[in-house]
Amino acid sequence: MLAYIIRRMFQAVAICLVISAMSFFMLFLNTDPALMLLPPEAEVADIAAFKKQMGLDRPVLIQYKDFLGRVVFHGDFGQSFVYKVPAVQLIMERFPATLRLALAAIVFINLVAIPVGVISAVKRGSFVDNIFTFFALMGQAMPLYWLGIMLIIIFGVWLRWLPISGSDSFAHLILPAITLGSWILPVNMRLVRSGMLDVLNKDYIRTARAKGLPEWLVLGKHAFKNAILPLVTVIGMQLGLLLGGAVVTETVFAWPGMGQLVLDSIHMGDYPVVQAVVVVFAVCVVVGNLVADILAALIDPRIRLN
Amino acid sequence: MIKPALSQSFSISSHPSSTIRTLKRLWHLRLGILGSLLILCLVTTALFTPWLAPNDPYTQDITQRLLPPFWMEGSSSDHFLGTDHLGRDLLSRIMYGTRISLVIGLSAVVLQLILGVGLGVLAGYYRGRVDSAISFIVNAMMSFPFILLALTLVSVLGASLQNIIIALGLTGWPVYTRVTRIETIKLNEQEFILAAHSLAYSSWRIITRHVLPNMLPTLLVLSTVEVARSIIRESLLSFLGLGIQPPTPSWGVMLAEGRDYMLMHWWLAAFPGLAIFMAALGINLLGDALRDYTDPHLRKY
Amino acid sequence: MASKMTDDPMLQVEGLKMHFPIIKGVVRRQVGSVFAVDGVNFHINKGETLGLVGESGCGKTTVGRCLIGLYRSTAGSIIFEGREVINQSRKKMVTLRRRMQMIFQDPYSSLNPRMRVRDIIGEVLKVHGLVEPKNKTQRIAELLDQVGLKSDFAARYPHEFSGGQRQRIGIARALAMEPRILVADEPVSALDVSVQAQVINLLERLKQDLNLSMLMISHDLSVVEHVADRIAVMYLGKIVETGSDRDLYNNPHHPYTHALLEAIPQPRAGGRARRQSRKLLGGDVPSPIDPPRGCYFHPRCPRVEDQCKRDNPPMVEVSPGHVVSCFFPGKK
Repeated sequence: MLAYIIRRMFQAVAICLVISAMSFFMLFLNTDPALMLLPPEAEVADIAAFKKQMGLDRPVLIQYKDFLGRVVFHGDFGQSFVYKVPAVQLIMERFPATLRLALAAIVFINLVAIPVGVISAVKRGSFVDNIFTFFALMGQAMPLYWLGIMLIIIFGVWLRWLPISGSDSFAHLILPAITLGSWILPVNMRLVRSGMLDVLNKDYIRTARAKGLPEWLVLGKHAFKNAILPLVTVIGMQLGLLLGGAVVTETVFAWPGMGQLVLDSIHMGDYPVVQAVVVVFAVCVVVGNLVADILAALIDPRIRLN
Repeated sequence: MIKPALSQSFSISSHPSSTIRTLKRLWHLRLGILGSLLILCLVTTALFTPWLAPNDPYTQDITQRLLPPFWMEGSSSDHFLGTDHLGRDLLSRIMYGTRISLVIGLSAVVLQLILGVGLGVLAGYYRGRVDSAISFIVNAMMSFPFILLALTLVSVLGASLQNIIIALGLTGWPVYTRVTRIETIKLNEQEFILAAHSLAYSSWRIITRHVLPNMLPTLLVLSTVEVARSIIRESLLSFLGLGIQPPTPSWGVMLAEGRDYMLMHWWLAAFPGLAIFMAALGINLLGDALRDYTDPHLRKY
Repeated sequence: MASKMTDDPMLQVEGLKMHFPIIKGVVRRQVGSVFAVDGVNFHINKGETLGLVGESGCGKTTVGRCLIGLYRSTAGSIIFEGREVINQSRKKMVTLRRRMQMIFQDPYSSLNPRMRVRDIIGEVLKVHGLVEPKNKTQRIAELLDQVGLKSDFAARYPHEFSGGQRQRIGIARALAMEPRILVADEPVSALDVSVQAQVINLLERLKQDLNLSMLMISHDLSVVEHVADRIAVMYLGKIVETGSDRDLYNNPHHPYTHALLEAIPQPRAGGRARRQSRKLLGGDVPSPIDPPRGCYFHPRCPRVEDQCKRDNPPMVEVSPGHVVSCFFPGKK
C-alpha cells in the first residue's frame, strides 16, 4: 500500500512538471515570448532590454529551469503586467470564489444524484426511471454556458426570483452552482444507479430480504452504503472537470473567480497570470486525483495490483 | 469472441420479464430513431444551406434589427426567428452555423482518431516502456481541464478555423488512446492474435488486419460521441471569444452576441444554444443506439 | 541426455526454461519469477506424437508457446530439423519455425471474427508466398477438404460455424503453412464431448496422411491416450516421467503419473463414463513462484521420505525409453 502511494505521488509530481513545461513552452510555440509578455506598444529597444533583463536571450531549457526554480522555491510566476502585481497575489484573491463555487456545485450534484440514482435503481425500468434516464441523456448534450444563460433568462429575467450576476449572497450562488453541477450530474446519477443495482443483485441483499427485514432497512443499511462508495472516489477525479467548467460558468455569471481571471488574462495577453493559473489548476487536479486514487485503493485493495 | 455462456447468464439475471425487455428495446430503438432524425436534419441543413436558408447570413439591415420570432408581436414574415442586433436573419445564420459546427466536429475527430488510435495501439501492442511513456502523457492530459489547454493553444496559435481544429485535435486524443490501448491489450490475449504471431505475420499486418478491424465498433461509437463533444467545444471556444471570429455565423459566436441582449431579446441566445443542444443530443442518442447494437453487453440493466 | 533416441529426432528440446518476471514496488523492480517452465527436456521423432500431460498451471501451455516462438524462452535449446531456433534473427526464425505450427485451445477466440474463412487461410498463403495467386482458391478448397469441410464454406465468417467446425478451420490454417510438427494445445478441451472424438480422429488421420509429428498438450490422459506414441508427464514446470504410452499406462513409476491414471474415468455398467474428481491427490499444486525444496512433488506425495524434502531427484531410466524423476520409482 505504501509503495503504491509513493509511486502515485511520484507520478503526480511528474504530471505537474509536464504541465508546467507545457504551459511554459506554449509561449514559444510560434511567436517571440517577449512580444507576448510585453505590451504591444513596446519599442524595439525596449524589447531588447526586456529580453536581456528577463534572460529571454538565453537557451530555452535554461529559461525553463529558472522558471521552474522560481515557481517551486519562491512561488513566483512573475508580475502581471496588466495589474502590475505578482500573479500569485491575483490568484490568491480569486481562489476563494472559485472554491466556493466548486464546493456548492459538488453539494448540488450529490444532493440530486444520490436520491435520483437510488430511486432509479429501486424502481428500475419504471416510468420514473425512464424519465430520469432521459433527463440524464439531455443533460449530457446540454452546453453548460447555454444552460446558464437560459437559467438567467428564466429565473432572473422572467420570474425575477434570483440575482443574475455577482457573488454577494447565498442567492447569488444558486444559479452558478446548478449550471456548473449540471455538467457532471448525469454521470454521477448513472454511477449511483448502476452501483445500487450491482449491490441489489448481491447475495447478502437477498439474504437480508429473505430474513424478512423491512425494505427500507435493507436498502438503507446494506445497499445504500456500498452504492455510495464509488462517488467518494470519483469526486476527486471530477475536480478537473469542475475547474474547467468554472472558467465558463464564471464568465456567464460574472463570478469573480480564477476562471474569469484566466480568461481575461488570455484575452489581454497577460501570460504570467495564465501560466500561474494553469499550474495552480494542474496542482489542484493532480492532488484531487491522487486523493481519489488513494481512497479507491484503501476501499478496494484489488486496484493496487494494477 | 463472445462466448455464448456469458450472454445467456447475462440475460437471465438482468431482466425479469420478456415483456419489459421488449418494451425497453423499443424504448431504446425509439431514442435511436429520434437521434437519426435529428442528425438527418443537421446534415441536410449543412449540405443544402445555400438553397434552404431564407436570407443571406451576413446582410445587415439596421431598420430591421432585433425583430422577435414569428409568434411574437412586431415580428416580420421575412424573418422567421427574428433578427439580431445588426438586423441579420437569425434562422439563416443558425443554418449556416450548422456547416461550421459539422466541419469542425468531423475534422477534429479525424485528427483525434489518427493521434489517439495510433498511440493507443502502440502502447497496447508493444507494452513496456512505450506503454509507460504514452500512458503517462495520457494521464497528464486527462487530468487537466481541456478548456484551459485549448484556450491557451488557440490564443498562442491565433484564432482561425484551422487552428481551432488543431487545438481540438491536440487536446481531444487521449480518450481514444485510453480506449484503444485497453482494447488492444484485450485483443492481444485472444488466440487469433497469438495465431497471427505463430503464423509469422509482421506486426504491421497484425495491427492493421487483425487488431484494428476488431476495434471498429468501439471506435465508431466513441467517435460519434466525440463529434458531439467537439461541436460543443468549438461553440464554447467561440463563445469565449477564442474560436470562430465574428461575423462568421458560428453557434458559439451567436450565443456570445445574443448574451449581450438576453435581458430584452432572449431568443438571440436561446435559438443558437438550442441548435447546439439538438445537434449534440441527436449525435449522442445515435451513439447510444450504436453502442447497444454493436455491444449488447454494455447495455447493462 | 536421459532418453536415448532411436532414430533421428524431428525436434530436440534441452533444458528449456521460461521464467516470467514479477515486478513490484516503487521503482518497479523485479522481486521474483514465476518458474513456469523450469528445465524441460524431450524429443519428438519423425511421424511421432508426444503427449504432454499435466494439471492446469503446470507449464505445459508455456512449453508449447516457447516452441512456436510466442514466448522468448529464458534458457535452453530447441533444435528443429537439426538447427537451433532460439536466439536467431527474426527473419531466420520465421523460416525455421514456419514448419512448426500450433492448434489453439479455444476455437471461439482463435479465428479472427472479421475475416471470412477464405481470407483466414488465404492470408497465410499470400503472406508467405506458398502458392501462385491464381491457385489460391484451389489450394484453400484442398485444405478445407483435408480437414473435412466443404469448399463452399470458404465464403463464410467464423461465427457461422460450430465449435468443432471452427477447430477444423484452425487446423486448416495451420496446415496451410505445410508444417512438419503440429503443436496442439488442448485442441479439444473447449469442444462438446460428442465432437471431441471427431477432431482427435482428424488429427490422427492428418498425422498419418502427411507424415506429421505432433506435440499433443492436454490435462486429460484419456485424450492423449488415443493419439500419443509416447507420453511426458509434467508437474510444476518439470517433466517427471517419460515413456511409451504402453509403459506409462501399464507400468507408471512416478507417484504423480499414478495419481493421474487413477483419475481417468472408468466406464460404468449401463451408464456413460463419468469423470471423477481429479483431486485424488491431497493438497494443492504449490506456487510456481516459490516452489518447494527438494522434489517439487513431495508435499503431495504418498511415498514421501526425508530425502525427497532435501534433494532434487535424478532422472532414472527404469527401462529403455522410460525415464522417471523419483527417488523411489516403482509401482504401487
